[in-house]
Amino acid sequence: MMRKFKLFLSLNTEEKWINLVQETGYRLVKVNPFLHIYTFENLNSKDDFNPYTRIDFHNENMSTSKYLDYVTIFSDSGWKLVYGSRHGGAQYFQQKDAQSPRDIFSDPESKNLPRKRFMNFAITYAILFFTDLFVFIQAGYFSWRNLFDLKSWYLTPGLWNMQGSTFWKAFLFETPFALLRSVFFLFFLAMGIYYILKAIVNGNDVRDSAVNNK
Amino acid sequence: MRNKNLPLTETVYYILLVLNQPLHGYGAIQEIDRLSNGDVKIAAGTMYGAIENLLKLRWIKEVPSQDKRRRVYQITEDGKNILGLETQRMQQLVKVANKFGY
Repeated sequence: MMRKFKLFLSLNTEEKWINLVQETGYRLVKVNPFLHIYTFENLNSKDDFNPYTRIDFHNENMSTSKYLDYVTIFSDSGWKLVYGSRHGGAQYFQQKDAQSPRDIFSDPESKNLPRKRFMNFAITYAILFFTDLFVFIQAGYFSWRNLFDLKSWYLTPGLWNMQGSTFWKAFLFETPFALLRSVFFLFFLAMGIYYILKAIVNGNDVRDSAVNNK
Repeated sequence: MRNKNLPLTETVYYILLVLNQPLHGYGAIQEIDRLSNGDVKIAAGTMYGAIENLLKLRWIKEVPSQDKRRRVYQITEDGKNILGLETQRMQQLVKVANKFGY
């Protein structure tokens, strides 16, 4: 049993990484998409079948019966669902045995569709986080100037003129509050940038494969 | 003027063809594999996406299924119409090719 935490900017790099880990004698058995934790299990023996794992992606809800139909087409075709949700997101499918096909897509156009959906999803989230950021700034909770001026995070009057232990007491006392004030801002900023990068990297994957197929 | 949806991909052409009888997704995959002598193997994700797209175009429709886990589909009149147009297009192509001695 091996647990790994990892963040990815694209479905291609995530899929490649999972398969690289599996090649060293492991099988992906669990994915926690919220904590980004991947759980692998050791293959039993050296001649144990070494599976491929492939990722599909949905950005829309499916009804329970539709999702069941979706998973069953994959299951009938030799793919076991490792992790997935009918509410969308990445769906991880793993080859059941050596008879399973190598991929869950048989032409480049259909392989591109989940990458396009992932890009649209990332753009939506980037817009969402940056909108929140803008609202924060408009409401006066924070400004871009504050970001690089750490002293401005502290609101105690005359704090920076205090001396010795008086200063340290006041400083340490306010630090949690100062962090709390900025933590939301920094979080939204980081998430916004993270999703913009995801959109760009996946957009490039989609474009590259379109060029290669021409 | 030619229908803007033409030409069809080989995948779509085969799916419409085999859905002249009611089939579920994997049933269609197997039937296409058989009819093409193993040349056309449609993967699960590709089949699912194609079915979604054909439902949107109303070229196929869902029909009642005994099996709760597998939805069953069949071609519609619109689908038959497009399949006819595409077959005519390819026949014309073959006719031209024949004139060149192929």
